[in-house]
Amino acid sequence: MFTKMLGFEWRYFTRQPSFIVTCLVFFLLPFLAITIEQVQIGSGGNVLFNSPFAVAQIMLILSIFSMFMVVNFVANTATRNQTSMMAEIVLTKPIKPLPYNLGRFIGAYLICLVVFAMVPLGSFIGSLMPWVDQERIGPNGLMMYLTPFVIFSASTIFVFAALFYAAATQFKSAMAVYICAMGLFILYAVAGQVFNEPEQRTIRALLDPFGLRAFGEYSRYWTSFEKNSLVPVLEGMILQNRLLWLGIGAFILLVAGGLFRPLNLASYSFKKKPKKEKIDVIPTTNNIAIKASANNGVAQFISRTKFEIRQVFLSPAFLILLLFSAFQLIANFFEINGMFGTPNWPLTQTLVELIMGSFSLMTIIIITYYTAEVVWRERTVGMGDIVDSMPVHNVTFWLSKLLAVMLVIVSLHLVGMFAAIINQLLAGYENIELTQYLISLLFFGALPWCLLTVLAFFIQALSPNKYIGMLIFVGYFFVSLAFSQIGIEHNMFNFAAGPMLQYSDLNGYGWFIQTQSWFMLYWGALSVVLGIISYGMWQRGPQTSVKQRLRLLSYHLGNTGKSIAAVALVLFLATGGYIHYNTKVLNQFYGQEEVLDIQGDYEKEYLEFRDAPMPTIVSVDVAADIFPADRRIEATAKVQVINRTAEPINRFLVNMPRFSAVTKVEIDGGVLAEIDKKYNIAWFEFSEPMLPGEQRNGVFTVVREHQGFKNSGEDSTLVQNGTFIDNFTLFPSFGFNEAYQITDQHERRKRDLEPLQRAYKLEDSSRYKESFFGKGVEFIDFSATLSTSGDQFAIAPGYLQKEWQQQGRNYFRYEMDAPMVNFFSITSSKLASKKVEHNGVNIEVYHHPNHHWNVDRMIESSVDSLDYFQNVFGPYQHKQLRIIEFPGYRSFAQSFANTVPYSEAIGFITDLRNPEDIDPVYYVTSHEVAHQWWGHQLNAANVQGSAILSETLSQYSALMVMKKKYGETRLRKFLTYELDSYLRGRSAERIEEMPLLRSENQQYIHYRKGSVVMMALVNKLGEARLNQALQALLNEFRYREDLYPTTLDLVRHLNTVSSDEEQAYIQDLFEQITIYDLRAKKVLKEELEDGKIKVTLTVSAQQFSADGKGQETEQPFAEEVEIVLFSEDPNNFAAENKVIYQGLHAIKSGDTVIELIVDESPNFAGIDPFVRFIDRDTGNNIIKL
Amino acid sequence: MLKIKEISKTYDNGVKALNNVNLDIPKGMFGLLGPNGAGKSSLMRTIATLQQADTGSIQFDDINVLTQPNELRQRLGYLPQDFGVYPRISAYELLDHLAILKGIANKGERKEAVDGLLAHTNLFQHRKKAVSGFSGGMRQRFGIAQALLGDPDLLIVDEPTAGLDPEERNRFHNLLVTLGEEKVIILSTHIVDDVSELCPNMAVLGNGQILLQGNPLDVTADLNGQIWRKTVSIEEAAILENTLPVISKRLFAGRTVLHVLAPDAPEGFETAPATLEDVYFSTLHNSRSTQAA
Repeated sequence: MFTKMLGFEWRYFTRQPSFIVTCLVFFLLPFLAITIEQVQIGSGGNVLFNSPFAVAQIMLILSIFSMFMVVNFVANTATRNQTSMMAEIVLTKPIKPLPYNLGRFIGAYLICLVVFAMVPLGSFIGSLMPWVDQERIGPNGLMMYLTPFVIFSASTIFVFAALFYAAATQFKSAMAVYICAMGLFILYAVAGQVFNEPEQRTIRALLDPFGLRAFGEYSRYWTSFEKNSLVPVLEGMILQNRLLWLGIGAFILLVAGGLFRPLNLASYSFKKKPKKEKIDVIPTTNNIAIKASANNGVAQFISRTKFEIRQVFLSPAFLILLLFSAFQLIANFFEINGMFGTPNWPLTQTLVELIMGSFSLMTIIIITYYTAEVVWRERTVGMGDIVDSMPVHNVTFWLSKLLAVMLVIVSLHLVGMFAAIINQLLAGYENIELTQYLISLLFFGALPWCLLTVLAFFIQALSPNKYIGMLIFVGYFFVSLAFSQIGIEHNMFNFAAGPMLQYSDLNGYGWFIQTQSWFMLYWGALSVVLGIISYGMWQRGPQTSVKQRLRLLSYHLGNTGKSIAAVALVLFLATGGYIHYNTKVLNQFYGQEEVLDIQGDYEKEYLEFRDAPMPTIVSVDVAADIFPADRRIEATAKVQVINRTAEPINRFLVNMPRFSAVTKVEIDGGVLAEIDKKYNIAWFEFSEPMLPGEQRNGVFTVVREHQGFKNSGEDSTLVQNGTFIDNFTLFPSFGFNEAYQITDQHERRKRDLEPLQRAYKLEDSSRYKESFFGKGVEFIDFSATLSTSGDQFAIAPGYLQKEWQQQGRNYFRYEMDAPMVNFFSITSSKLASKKVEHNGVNIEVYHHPNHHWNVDRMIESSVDSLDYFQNVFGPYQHKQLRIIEFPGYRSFAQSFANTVPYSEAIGFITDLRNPEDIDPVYYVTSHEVAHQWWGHQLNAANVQGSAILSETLSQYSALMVMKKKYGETRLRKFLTYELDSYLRGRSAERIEEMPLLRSENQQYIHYRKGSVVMMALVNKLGEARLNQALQALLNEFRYREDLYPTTLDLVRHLNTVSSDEEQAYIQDLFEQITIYDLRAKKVLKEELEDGKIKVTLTVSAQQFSADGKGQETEQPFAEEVEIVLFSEDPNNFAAENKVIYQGLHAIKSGDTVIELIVDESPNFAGIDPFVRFIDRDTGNNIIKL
Repeated sequence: MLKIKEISKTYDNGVKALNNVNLDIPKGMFGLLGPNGAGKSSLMRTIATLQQADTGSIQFDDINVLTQPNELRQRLGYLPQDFGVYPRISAYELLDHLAILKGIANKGERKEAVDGLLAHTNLFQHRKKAVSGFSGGMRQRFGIAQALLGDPDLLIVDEPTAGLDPEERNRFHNLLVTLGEEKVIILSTHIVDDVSELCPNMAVLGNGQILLQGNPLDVTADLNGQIWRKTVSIEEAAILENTLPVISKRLFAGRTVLHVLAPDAPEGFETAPATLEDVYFSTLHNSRSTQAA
């Protein structure tokens, strides 16, 4: 019986089209993921496309999708007897329940396994495809496919099969099973949002039925070497997760699966019967021969539309869908994550983005499912013949059904909107911007989806059946995602696409309303054409071939249809022409590949001039007139240039700024040659060579403006409110542009370029005369006269000398009173401001009136920072410190001389109400203030490690200020984040990890590792000695232009204040990549007779040294490590935590037992709790007593 | 009224459903008889604008059915052989909706017609129940009601009495008859009695071809004196079938009654009055033997 049932299930499913289709889907998804570079899952950089890690990751991610495949098959098996009305036949046969049920269950399970086996198969076959870059394909091994399949996929699918089989048996409806599946998914999503703190990772990993998070934790810090070589092993977190879920699955199957239950018919419980109604007269005498009137399209249309809407909206599926979407969204609302796990205020723009992001997959499912459902409804329910023979025009059917599906999409977005508004109110955010919601969600969100629905209708109208139609539509959609890969990048060729909306509270919709309107008009016109064809070809009757329908096309369209189609077609072509003219004639448009090719050619052609002599700018006087409403700047810069090289300069390269109608470079004794349009560069040729040491005057003239609109890459520096542009962007710059080189190693190899040298060698002393801002960027004398519209103010570095109005425009004169790097910003905006004076320094914060929450915190941080830095490093060189908010098109804060443009996307909108959270506003502000010293007073040589001197030292400075304010225990949480970012950063390294000393502009090193290293160092040397060393470094190099410092100078100064043993430690920190693993393993507490407490703590330690690719070798460990006893959990940021014991202990490799006797009873013990070591897992450092 | 000329239709799978069908159908009831798979439903669907023919033409009044489907649909009532209904919608609402689609725009008129049709099909007391919950017979009656909406000039009913109990069947027949002679009513069925009771004109369709066409009385009269009957055992029947042109055999009280079509009485056979059933069976019998030959 068992084998017969199993065999029956097998034969049954393998003949179903759904089996073939799902097999195909699960084959193609991984196949595409491996073979298309842009849709990589788990690979990239040095991680191979078919690395064991990528293969496992693909399987795990697709196992989320597999849930719906399992629902389909298992629910089908469990409910088939009822749905196919075979129950009465089957159940009257003499069947033993257990073998029958078990056979069916296992049969269905095996089918699911076979379908999912397409995933490793698709990955494997994908890796053999000849067009895939062979350099990025590693060796294939059976185990790397089999192991994750057995460990994860087989068990996950068993869990689903068991749960869904039980659900189907209990509720006897496929819909109930879908609800279960959705519920499981919601649980997964919510768990991910709720347990998102670093210390909750274990519980989060355990609660994941897919095993995705367990594997994520398991491989969290894998380096590319490990990702390419390690196959997951059933141990630790993975083992626990699998056991837990297999147990849950088996338990539910046994308890609720009904395996042993005797077979009998399901008893249908009817809904309550409608009340008996007394019927007085049965109207048999009514006139039933009422003739139909001929012309009633409108009445039919209204009735039909109401009917379709009712059918859709009253179906249980729709309610489930809405609930699911709302849940999915709400899961995201739990915490709108900003920096360092601190939430942001729920701004409307953020929530809109969240709604659109979390609904996009859902909407595709809706369009696919509902279009098929609605177009084929009459056929499916069997009313097709009746309804199709009604005197109803095709257009009525088409349009009413289309409206119903569109309404689903719109209502989904509206549900999102209401959920978002409720969330805002609950969060205490009261600025409800209804207009923004409606415009963003409907015009930018729902409308393109509605147009896509028209396309789906078109496909279904021509498709022979609904499944083929669905397949074609989904196929089209997935292919369209990869359009950019095959060179189709312009939105004009991607149905219903337009430039992606970026909203800014400062600049509103900016140019997006214009672009969206044109693109929507363009696609709308095409949609009308498609729609007219759709109804013209509408299928009436059970089977009418496309050919036969084509014969009646003209009849069904009639003259109205034909003329509308003609008008729409003309409109489509006209708007297409207009968009083409704007995006490709008025503006330039290049695809990614084209850009890379141009970059490659540029490098090949001009690399030889990298070190060619060129003049250096030493003085700049800017006159810039900003016209924000027109997005235009007319600027001139009077400059003085000097030849700092030892040879005469005959000519040099000039990089022309983008978007500039006029660019003139005039320097005495020379002219600008013709501009090379391909690279937008030109030679400046001297008729009289510029001799060494010679100084000349010059003028740059630029008119930066915008014409028409662009397909992408709009200029976000010059906007209607919140212009923020730096000199390198606005004015011409000199010399070979290194930033224009391709960085991706694979793209370089494709174009026969040598591997990129990210930085000059640390020992290359010829570069010590170049600052890290680039060749020829030095300290300058600076002044600027700015003008802007009457409602805005303009700021440049320097001291405001004069302010006046002329012809309704505001004028500002800034002059810099201290040396300043030739790196300045010009901003123009209309903002609120807050100004305070502190010890002779004016601190000013300019912000959007609605972003007022953290202004005081920024001022506080500036005050604290100025005080500390002036005290320990030396005086602040300016009399002002200005923080200026700019639109969130770019999200960073950047320190210019006495001026810090600060993006609206960070800091200003952080919600600091929860004292448990890290305060990123205070930190970022302090970091930027620190740059006034590290970067603006102390420049760095253009060699490896340059960013250590600016960024790491700024991190250190900010951390010291933070430590003063928040204390060491709280700093622990920040450092835990920093350490985690470092470890994840190195795991995503694309080329090679460098030690700190030689960091090649690698953010995870100079920010993240830098923080941890500097805090370890301050612990070792003490604050005074460390600051003394830094001050000495600063004093040696402050404002110097003849010689810039390197990390070697930093280490030299550190060594000056250190003992031999400490010097060895410094060497280790700066010159090695060392990873530790410290654990608190066991702890015992006993009360001694004298009332004291004896704590016995077992800890272990390991040390590894890693190479640049992440291959690690274990080293002996022998260090003094901090052991701390706490009264409260140090992860609880808000608690009043008391350190009961803190002391250094010599720890060696392996286990060490430490005995401590303390007066007070501690509750938590930790090894290195303040993160002085680069510990690969800080989660196991704290143990509860 | 309805002229069907040289209609042929071959399906994608190679089945030739209609083969050069010619019919001229006047006003009044027209019975289309034929065994399962003869092409009745294909012909009905083609007339009902739900299927295109490969060749041929269909003319109703002044409407070219194949090229002016919308015009025909204004005057058409169609009950397909089997059909389903939308879930979660009551009989009244569904019929009302279909009435709007049919073109009865006036609200009062529509209520009058919908109530009346529900009453005539004996569904009035069930009008608030979901049609999807109806029994087979009730659903069939609902199908009849919707086909009669808007007083169609051309009424096509494909096996309308399938699943109806005798009482309901009679009620339906009466209703059809009262609908008058002003419209063309095509009744497709394999139940000979339906035709003989109702139709002044009829045709027999077999293998996609019209095998016989005429007035039931005339075609029956043609066979008078040629039908012979004998009641035999099952074993005897098997022997006789091989030697005689047996057009039908049926059981009566456990024994087999054979009908034979022959100019003279075969041995042991008695004369029997010709019925339409005999006509039908003999037509099919002839068709089969010509095909076999």
